[in-house]
Amino acid sequence: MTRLARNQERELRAWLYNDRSAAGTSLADEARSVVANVENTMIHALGTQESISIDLVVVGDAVPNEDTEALMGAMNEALKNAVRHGKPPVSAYLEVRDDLIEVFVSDRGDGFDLSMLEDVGPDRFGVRESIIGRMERRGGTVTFRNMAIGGTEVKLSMPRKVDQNPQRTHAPDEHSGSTKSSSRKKQ
Amino acid sequence: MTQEPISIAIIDDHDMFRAGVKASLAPWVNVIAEAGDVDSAVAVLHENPPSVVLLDVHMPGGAGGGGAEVLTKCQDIAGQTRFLALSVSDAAEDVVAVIRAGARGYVTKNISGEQLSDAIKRVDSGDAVFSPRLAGFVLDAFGAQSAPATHDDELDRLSAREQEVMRLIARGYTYREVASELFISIKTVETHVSAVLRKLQLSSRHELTKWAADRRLL
Repeated sequence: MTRLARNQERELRAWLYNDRSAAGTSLADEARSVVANVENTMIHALGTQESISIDLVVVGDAVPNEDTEALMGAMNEALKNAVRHGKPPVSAYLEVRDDLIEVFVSDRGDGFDLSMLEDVGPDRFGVRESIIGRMERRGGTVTFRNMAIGGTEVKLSMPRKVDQNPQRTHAPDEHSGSTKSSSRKKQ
Repeated sequence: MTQEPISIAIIDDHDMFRAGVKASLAPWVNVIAEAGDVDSAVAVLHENPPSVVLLDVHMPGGAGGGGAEVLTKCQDIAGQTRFLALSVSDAAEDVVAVIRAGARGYVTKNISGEQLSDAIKRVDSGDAVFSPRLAGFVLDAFGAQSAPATHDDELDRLSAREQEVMRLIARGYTYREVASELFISIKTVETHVSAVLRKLQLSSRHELTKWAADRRLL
């Protein structure tokens, strides 16, 4: 019932408040679709009766391209992981800046541990490939951290101009609280 | 230390929603009035002003101004009564309109009873309550990457610290988590949030009014 209401609300809101931008012109709209899709499909995947509600906040917008497509793909996987392995509330934050686009996906579960990198989901690609691989192939970075009060936050960063410099080797650690930074493979 | 009772009114045009909210609130929240449209809300709030009002953004009646109109017509009791906007709508112009009309915060309807009771307590003690969505609007309106204000009292820009706090709240962090992340006290977080609220309410920044209007036009 809640899921039906949320979808109807989403459609009505989109109709009333303009989210009528032409297809393919708004990253913000794509992010909203990704979130809606995860909410709707994970219910079946988990076989749960409870509705899943992901809080999405967007600041700024951009015209989608291949880099943002990878970013949305990684966000989709990160959200599914958060719903599957983490605990609510699951939050997603997308910020578009001049020089880069960032997505933060967080949940309040037991936190991230390295074995999750090897986790093989139903599509058999695993976190390492589906999130990290996707981002890195387009010049982006992924950082996983355990939050101070419990829970996991995944930060996906995609520079808006792809860095051609092959010497860059690793993403910056957030600070001492992080357990793992991804590293870009040297070419 | 037990919590002192706080009197509230629930203003929302869905009976079932009002009933659901009442049932989910902490026992020290005392619902003394309810209303479902602008005119009865204004009447009932003046009869017996509560400490806090949970106010939906959209509601029938009056001149069609919804929650913002109720607020505007209750300026005379604003000294004793504080308003917290509680809504399904997250359309930027609605949220901003209600904040600029005087609401001390905005939370969305998927909030838990516990979080809502906590938000009521915060508003009652004079603090502002920001949902991640409101923090996002603020960053959008003030420009998340514009050069930060050099003086805290600049109304048209956020200071670097204020931007940091807003960004964390937008990412879903509670005040406690923000405090922990930035190595500051919760009290300091509340101070920054209140300062941002004041800027949102008072700024004549062209973008705030124009941007809200733009959203409707596309």
